[in-house]
Amino acid sequence: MAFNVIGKTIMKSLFGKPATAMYPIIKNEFYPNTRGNIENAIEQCNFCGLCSRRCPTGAIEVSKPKRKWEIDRTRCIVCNFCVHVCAKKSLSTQRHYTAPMTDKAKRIYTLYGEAEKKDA
Amino acid sequence: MGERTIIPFGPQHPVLPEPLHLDLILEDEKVVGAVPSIGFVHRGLEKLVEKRDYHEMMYVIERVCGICSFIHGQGYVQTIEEIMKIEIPDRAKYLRTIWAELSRTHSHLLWLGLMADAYGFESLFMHCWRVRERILDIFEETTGGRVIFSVCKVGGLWKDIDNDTLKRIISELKIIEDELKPLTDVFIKDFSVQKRTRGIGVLTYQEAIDLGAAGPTLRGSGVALDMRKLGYAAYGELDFEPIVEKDGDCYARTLVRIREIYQSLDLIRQCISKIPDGEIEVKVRGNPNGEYLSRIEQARGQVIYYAKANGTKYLDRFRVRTPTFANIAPLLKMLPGSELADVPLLALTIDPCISCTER
Amino acid sequence: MAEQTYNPVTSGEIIDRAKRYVQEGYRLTQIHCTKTSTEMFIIYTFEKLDLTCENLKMHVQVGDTVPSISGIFPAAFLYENETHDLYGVNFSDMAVDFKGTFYETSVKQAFSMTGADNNE
Repeated sequence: MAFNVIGKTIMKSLFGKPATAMYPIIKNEFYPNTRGNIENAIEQCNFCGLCSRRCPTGAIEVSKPKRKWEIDRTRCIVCNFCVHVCAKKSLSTQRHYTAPMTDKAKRIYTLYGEAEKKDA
Repeated sequence: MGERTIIPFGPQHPVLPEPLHLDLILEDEKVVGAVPSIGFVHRGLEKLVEKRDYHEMMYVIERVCGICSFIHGQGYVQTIEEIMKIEIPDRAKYLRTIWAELSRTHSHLLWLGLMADAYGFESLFMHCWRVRERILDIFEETTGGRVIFSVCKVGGLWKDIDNDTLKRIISELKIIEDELKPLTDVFIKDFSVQKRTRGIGVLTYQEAIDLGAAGPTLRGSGVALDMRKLGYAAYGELDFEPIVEKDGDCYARTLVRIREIYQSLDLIRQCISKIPDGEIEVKVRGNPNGEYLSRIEQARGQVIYYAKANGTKYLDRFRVRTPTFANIAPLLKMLPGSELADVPLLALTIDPCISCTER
Repeated sequence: MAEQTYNPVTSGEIIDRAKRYVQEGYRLTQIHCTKTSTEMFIIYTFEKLDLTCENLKMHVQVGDTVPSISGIFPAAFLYENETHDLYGVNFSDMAVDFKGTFYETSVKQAFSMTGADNNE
């Protein structure tokens, strides 16, 4: 048995650099693999609705006639399953996280495709 | 004989982040009995298999617990693969083992921190979590998530780790080991720490077996039972022995976990030196039909998955028996005879994860 | 991994079988209940320290009374209370009987309904 075994570590952290970063000033760097939030390159999307059917939480809603793609950011668990199943590869995961929001209505993120293009 | 008092302990308690509730029957300061009640966070996730197809279910099962998330996912896909008779490529097996062992390390480090916190050693708690942060960084770099990885799938993995990153992980492990050594010495050698852990909450060899203890709680009592010895994933090709301590007290359980951290780091190195090149997934066709019960080793102990499939894409039943559930009975055995002040410590030594337990 | 067998057992035999497992050095690993649209059964799993594992399967119905094995395997009372609270199978002579308060779910015997029952 010994006393004050942690003494050396305490001295080290007393004179060393802090382990944490000053957050708002120094932003965390994300890795290329980081799953932040789901984005849709809407011009590639064909509104097949596969992502909404396979989503484990039902966060995505797709409407083909309205050419609308909608995601509920607070329900999405960023599991990446929609990105994997997307046939057109229009979905992707971004490195940054969804920003905090003060308004609940902002949790829903909607994208519209160009309607005329299809008719032409 | 003093007067008997009943003191409710939990579900909100400063030491336990988990909603475990115990009614402690006290005689003066001595605990003479305890009645547990759980069910505060019962979410019925097991029932969700009837509504989510077996590929999607993987993401739900992974979210049963935030700490053993990878091993939950691994256990689930392993059970389904067993039913569907899928043999996954060797590289996928090794990668799963690496991630599982990293999970074990980060879970044990988290537990060591909480343990230090339980006897009021705040700075040790922070130092343990500082080291743990390095492992979480490895996770974020390789899988994209810090605690929820979503890399397993039925038939293999979504993501590969390239060989350069694997090399970097080895050098990172060296740093982790160097930083960890002075911290684990505190748990092993420090006088005041031993005052709180030695000889407290003794669980004998026979009691541990009879009460169905699991994981470090079981091995701390001298029982060499480790599900990794079944040889699932790549464990069959790795060289390791279950870590056993004889005393069965809080100190022994701490020691088992500390030695398991070093063992895990060693297993990761073995995996990286042996990992073969090749595919990481196989094509999955059709739906599972049949039943299988698989046992694997989580950081907290043995976990059991049972799946019953009926030939459609929805399973009939998926059952998770988590190690904490098995460890509640031993906890009830440890509590009588201890002091009231030791109760949080004892509850912590089984590494309770109530959210896991109740699914 | 090896093929798994589920040995059938009836509620009359379970006590004797459990006693035999104790003599052979097995310990109880888990008990759980499964209900599908066609059948309902309880699985008992026993394992030995050399990692061998045996399963017993007992067919039951909601409301049946099954003898408890918690007198033989003390750890069984947790699983039996769980099965009782979630599936509505009664166990006689449990070592510790919570009388339905182990899991305090808002719907009693929540798991005794299958998806098919709900649709009816």
